[in-house]
Amino acid sequence: MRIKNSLVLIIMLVLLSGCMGVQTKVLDEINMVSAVSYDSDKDLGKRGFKATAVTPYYLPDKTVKTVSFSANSNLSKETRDKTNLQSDKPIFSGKLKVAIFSKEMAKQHLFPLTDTFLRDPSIGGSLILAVADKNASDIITTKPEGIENEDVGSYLAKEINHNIKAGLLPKTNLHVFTYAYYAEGADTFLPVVDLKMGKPYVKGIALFNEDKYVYQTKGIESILFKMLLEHTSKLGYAAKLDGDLVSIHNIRSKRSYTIKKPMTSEPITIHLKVIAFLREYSNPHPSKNFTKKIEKQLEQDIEKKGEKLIKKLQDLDIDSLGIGDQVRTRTRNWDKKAWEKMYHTIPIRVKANVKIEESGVIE
Amino acid sequence: MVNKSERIPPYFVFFLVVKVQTGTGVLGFQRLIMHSAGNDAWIAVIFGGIVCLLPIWCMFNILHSHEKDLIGVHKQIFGKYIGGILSMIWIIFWLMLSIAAYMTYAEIIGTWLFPQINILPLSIVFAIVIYYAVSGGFRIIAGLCFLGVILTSFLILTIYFPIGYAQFHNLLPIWHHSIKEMAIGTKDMSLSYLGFSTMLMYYPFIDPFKKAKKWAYMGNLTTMLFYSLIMVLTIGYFTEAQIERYIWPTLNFWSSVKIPFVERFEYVGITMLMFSIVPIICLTIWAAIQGTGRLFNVKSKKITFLYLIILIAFSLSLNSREEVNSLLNFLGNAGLYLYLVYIPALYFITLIMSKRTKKGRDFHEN
Repeated sequence: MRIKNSLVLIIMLVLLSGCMGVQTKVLDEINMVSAVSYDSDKDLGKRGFKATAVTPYYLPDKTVKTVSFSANSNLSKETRDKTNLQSDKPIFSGKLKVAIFSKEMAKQHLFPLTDTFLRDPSIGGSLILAVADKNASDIITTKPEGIENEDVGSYLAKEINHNIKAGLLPKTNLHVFTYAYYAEGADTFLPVVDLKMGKPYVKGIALFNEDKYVYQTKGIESILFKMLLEHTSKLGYAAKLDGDLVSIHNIRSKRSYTIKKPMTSEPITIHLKVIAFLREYSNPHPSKNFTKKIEKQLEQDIEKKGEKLIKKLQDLDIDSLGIGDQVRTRTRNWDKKAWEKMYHTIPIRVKANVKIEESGVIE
Repeated sequence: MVNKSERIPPYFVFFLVVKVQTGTGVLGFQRLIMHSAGNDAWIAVIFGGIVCLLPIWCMFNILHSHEKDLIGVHKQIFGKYIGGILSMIWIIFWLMLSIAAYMTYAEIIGTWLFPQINILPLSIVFAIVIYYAVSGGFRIIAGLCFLGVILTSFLILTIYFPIGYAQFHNLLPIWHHSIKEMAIGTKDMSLSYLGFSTMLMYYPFIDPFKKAKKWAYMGNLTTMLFYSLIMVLTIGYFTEAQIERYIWPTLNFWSSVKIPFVERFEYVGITMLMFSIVPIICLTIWAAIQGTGRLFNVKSKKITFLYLIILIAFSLSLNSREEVNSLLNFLGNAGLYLYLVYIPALYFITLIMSKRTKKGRDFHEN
C-alpha cells in the first residue's frame, strides 16, 4: 500500500512539474514592463503609433535603472513582438501599472487601444490610464529626479493613486474608464500628466466625448469636477471672497441629485453638502461672525463656478458627470437618443451647503 | 440499507447542497442572466432559488414514500427495462455535470493562469485525486463538500474591494423588464442551481433522513442569498453593455483586489477554487457511479475508471469556448426539464400509486 501511494505521489509530482508545458517566469529572467506610452505616428496611417515600454533594471546598489524599448505599429501587442527584438529577456506585462496616451492619440478613438489591456488576463482593472499633455514617451522615459530606488511606472501609479485619495483626481483606472465608456448616460475622463522639473505631475482632468478627447479642466475646475462627481474626503478649495483669500481643507463633500421630472426639460439640481476646516484667511481683522459670512460666500462661489463648469460641459455636449446615468435610474422611460438631444438644453443648478466645522487655533 | 459506518448526519445535506450549487457557475453566471433581465437580474436569481424549492420538495416526498434511491424508485414504478432507461438518463446527466464542472475550471486555468498549459497531465492529476476521493466512499465526499464550503467561504470577503467602485443606483428602476424577460432570466439561472439532484442517490446514506429536509431548503436558500449578493454587486460594478463582454465577471472583481503582499489576487482565488471544484466533480461523478453500480450490479471500481477516462477524453476533445458553452447550455436546458418537469411528474405518479396501493390495501382489509 505504501509503495502504491508513493507511486501515485511520484506520478503526480512528475506530471505537475514537468509535463504541463507551463512556461516558467523567473523574475530575474524576464523583463516586467511597468509603464507604456503611446504617441501617434502619422507615417503609419491614421491609427499608427509609437509604443514605448519601460522596464526597471534593479542594480546591486539598490538603485533602479529604467530601460525603455519602443516600436511603431498599428496594434499594441504587435509592438511587443517588435520590442522583444530589442530586449535581452522576454517581456511580460504582468506588472504593468500605467499606460499613457498622448493627446493626439486621445483625440482619435481611445477605446480600441484599451482592448488589449482588457483582454489580457495578466493586466488588472486597476491599471492607471492617463493622458500626456505633450509627449507621452517623455513622461515614462524621464526618471523622476532624486528618486533612486523606484522605477517610473510605480512612481507614477503611486502619484496618481495618492492624488485620488487626497487630491483633485476622481477615482480613475481601467475599470472606471471602461465602465463610463459602456454606460449609457456618461462620458469618460482620464487624468492629465505632464513633466515639471524632471518629475511627472498631475495637471488636470481630460474629458472625453465617449472616447475622444475634447477638453482639459484647468485650475479650480478639477476640484469642482471631483466634488460634483463623487463623495470626497480630503479636498482643498481656495477662493477669493470680497478681496480676501480663503482656503479650506479636509473637505468632506457629498453630492446628491434632485430630478423632479426626469426626461423633461425641468431643471436638475445637484446638491453639494460640504463640511470643511478653515485653514487660511488673508483678512487680519476678521469680524465676529466671519465663519458664517465665509460659509455664505463660499456657497455662492461654489454654485457659480460649478454651474459655469456644467454649462461648459453642456456646450461641449459631454456628460462627464454622468448626469444621464442619474436620470436613467430615476425614470422608466429612458431613451438614450432623446436624452442626448435634450442634454445641453436642460438647466442644471448647483446648490451648495457649506459648513465650516473648525477654524484653527486662532480667532 | 447502507452500512451504519457509512452514513452521515442530516445537517451534512446543507453542505452537500450548497457545495454542488456553487461551483464555477459563480464566476460567470451573471452575463447570461443580465442579458435578458438587465438590472433586474437579482430578482431573477431570487426567483430561480425559490423555484428550485419545488423540485427539492418533490424529491423528498418521492424518496420518503419509497424509501429507496432513484434507481430503486424507477425500478419499482416502471419496471426493470423502462426504469433502467430512465435511470440511465440521470446517470448520463450527472456524468455530464461533472464533466462540465471540470471543463469550465480547466478553461479558467488555461485562460487566466497558464495559457500554454498542456491539459492532459492536468486532467490525469485531477482524475487521480477524484479516484482517491470516490473510492473512499460517500463519507469522504461529504467531508470534501464540507471542507469545500468552509475553505472557500472566506473568498466572499473579497467583495469588499469592488464595492468601492460599485454604483448601486444601477439597481434602479426596479422591475422595468417584462415578465417574459424575467422568466428567461430565471430559466437561465437554473443551471447554477443544478446538481442537488445527487440527493436522489445519497438518500440512503443520511441518517435519519426525515430531518434532512430543512437542511436542504436552507442550503438552497443560502446559495440563493450568495448568488444574489454577487449579482447585486455585479449590477453595481458593471454596466449592462460592459458585462456582455466579460466572460468571468467575478474574476474581474478579483482583479481590483489590492493587498500589499499579493499583487494579483486571481492567482490565489483560482487556486482556492480547486477546493470548490473537486468536491463537485466528486459528488456528481459519485452519483453517476453509484447509479450505474446499482443498476447493473457492477463493481464500482471499474465504472470509476471508465468514467474518469470519459472525463479525460472529454477534456481533450472539447477545447474551444463555444463547445464548452454549448455543453453548458445543453445541460441547462436538460436540467430544466429534468427538475421542473420530470421530478414533479415522478412525484405525481408516486402520489397516485401510493393512493392506489393504499386504496387497494384498504379494500383488501375490508
